[in-house]
Amino acid sequence: MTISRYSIIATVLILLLILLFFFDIILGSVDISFIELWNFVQLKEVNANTEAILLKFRLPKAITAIFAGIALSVSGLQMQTVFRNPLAGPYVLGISAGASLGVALIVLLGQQFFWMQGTDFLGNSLLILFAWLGSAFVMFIILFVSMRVRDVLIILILGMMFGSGISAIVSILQYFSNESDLKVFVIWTMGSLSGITISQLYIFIPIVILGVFIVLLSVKSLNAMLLGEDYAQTLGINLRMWRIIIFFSTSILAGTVTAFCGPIGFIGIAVPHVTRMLLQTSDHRHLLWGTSLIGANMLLFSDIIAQLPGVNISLPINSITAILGIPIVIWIILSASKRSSFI
Amino acid sequence: MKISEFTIKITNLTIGYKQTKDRLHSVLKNINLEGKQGEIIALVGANGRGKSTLLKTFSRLLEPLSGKIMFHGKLLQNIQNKELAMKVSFTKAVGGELANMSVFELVAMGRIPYTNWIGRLTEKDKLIILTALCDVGLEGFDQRRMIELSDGEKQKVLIARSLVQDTELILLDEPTAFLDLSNKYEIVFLLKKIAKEKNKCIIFSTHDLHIATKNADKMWLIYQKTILQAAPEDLILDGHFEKIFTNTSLKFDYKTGEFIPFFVQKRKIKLIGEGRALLWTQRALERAGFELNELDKNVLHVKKINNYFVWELNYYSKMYEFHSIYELLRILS
Repeated sequence: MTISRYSIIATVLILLLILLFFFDIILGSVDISFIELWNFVQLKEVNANTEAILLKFRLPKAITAIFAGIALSVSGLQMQTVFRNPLAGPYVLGISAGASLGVALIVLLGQQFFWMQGTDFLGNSLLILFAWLGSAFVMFIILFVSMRVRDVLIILILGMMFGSGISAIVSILQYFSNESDLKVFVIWTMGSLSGITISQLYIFIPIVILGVFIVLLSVKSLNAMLLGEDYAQTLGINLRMWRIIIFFSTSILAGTVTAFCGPIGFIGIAVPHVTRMLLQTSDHRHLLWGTSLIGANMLLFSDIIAQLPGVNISLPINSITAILGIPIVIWIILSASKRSSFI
Repeated sequence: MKISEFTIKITNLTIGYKQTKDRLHSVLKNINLEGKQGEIIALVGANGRGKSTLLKTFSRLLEPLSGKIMFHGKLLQNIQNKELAMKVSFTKAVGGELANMSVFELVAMGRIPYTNWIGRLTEKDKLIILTALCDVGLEGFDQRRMIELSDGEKQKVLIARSLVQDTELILLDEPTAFLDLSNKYEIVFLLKKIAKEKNKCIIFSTHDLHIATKNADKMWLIYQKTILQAAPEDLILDGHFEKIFTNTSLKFDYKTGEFIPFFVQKRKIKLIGEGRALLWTQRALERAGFELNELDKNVLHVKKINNYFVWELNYYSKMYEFHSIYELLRILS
């Protein structure tokens, strides 16, 4: 593996990212012509309608797709390494269940306890706040557990059990809620990249950057964990400390994305595998930029498909990432049977 | 002035597991051992008697229940994580769970205690890695994937990994398990060479007593919840070696240094013949539970007729003729 091969891959991925970003902006229920976009970029006068579409919807959505793609893929990569499990993903700790509990509380119980109406919640800051609080709640439990429990497998099982338990509570809330509230909640669980406003991006982007920066600091420990915890420890890695740091960055990355966009599945599981295959390495120094770029590309691509160019409707993003991601995961499982290890 | 001539010195050590805060489960007690640089030490004992527990305690994956472990006169628990990683390396038994990485990447893991915050390998690190691969006889394997390698090669990669970690003490848990005989010898010869040439103290656990007795400078024998330390030959002579298998169907053969199956009632037979055919027929008879006896009425005669071996057997006054040992044993057993 030479440096030049990596730089070729990185260059191609960046060019692809620019291309997909471009298409994500111009394609949709209303197609924007290239000339209009060019005028917009040059800050020339454009049709007020077009400008509104670009500024209020398309640009924030495309930028969200990039950063959400990065956040989910990078946290999925971390979880697969820490748990040495090919099916681990950003939500394995129960983060999304926590967020959904927060959302369920505000959407389904909101009417009883607050003054709000159920229907106009999407994009509402309160909803985001509750989703974020829900995932933070789960994060603190996971961190608390990992300070006490030595065996990472127990943490994995506890995380999954805890997630299932929370989902059960959410189901009860769903059962007793009225139809219109339920629909708001169900739509939230389908994920959406268009809920974020430009001003919310000022919160979203810095948090993702902070999360990825923490992952960057964890790269060496992640590498050491590849051979298992005993090796990591005898190589001088403070396992307990780094595990907590890694869970923390995963929680804020996955939790923030879930808070702003709802749960978006399969990106976080599939992208790290694609990256490993493409880069042919297990070194996190390279996997980090690789998963970031591929994750951003993949979510942009999913979004282009989700908005069904030329048609006046759009599909839920979560379904598209699943439809794209599931074949990748299956392909990886099948081809990995020829190899001895996934990670 | 030397702080201590011993790389590792263990006094009154008790090892085991902490089940709860107050309940301790001790595996081995009253352990007093020492290891020097340039020494290769075989840790021997039946399964589940604490070999891995001991090695894990040395590499601080487990805490000792009581007693002292000193590295060059410094107490194990007082050594910083990173410093310890430069003093002691630990290699687990090869399992199927080795990550899907290249040989170079895996060996490079050993440099982790020495690299910067992000783990960047300097030219010097790369040179050390490639040199270690040469040392274990895997020159040119650096870009191969771990999954393409045989078990013996994987073990050598793991040994190279511990070499680049550049520690005085090298611990290996069952490096010869799951290998074929020639690979077992190769690995132990390699460890012996590393111990002598690079002046390391190597401690490895093993079930291959024959190879261990022939190659280890010292043997640590797990015996009745403690560990005996001596040259392998001393342990054989004072009879301790034999005792570790007292409750099994194996018996120690003092002539060959091997454990052989123990038959309560041995049938007797007289064997006539010469050369290699005699030797291997004897082995086959021993395997089938026979004891050679010059006076026995039953006689087996190995002959070479027209370049073929023929076995003539007079067994309870009946005559048989066989053309292979396999046929012979089928009738005898």
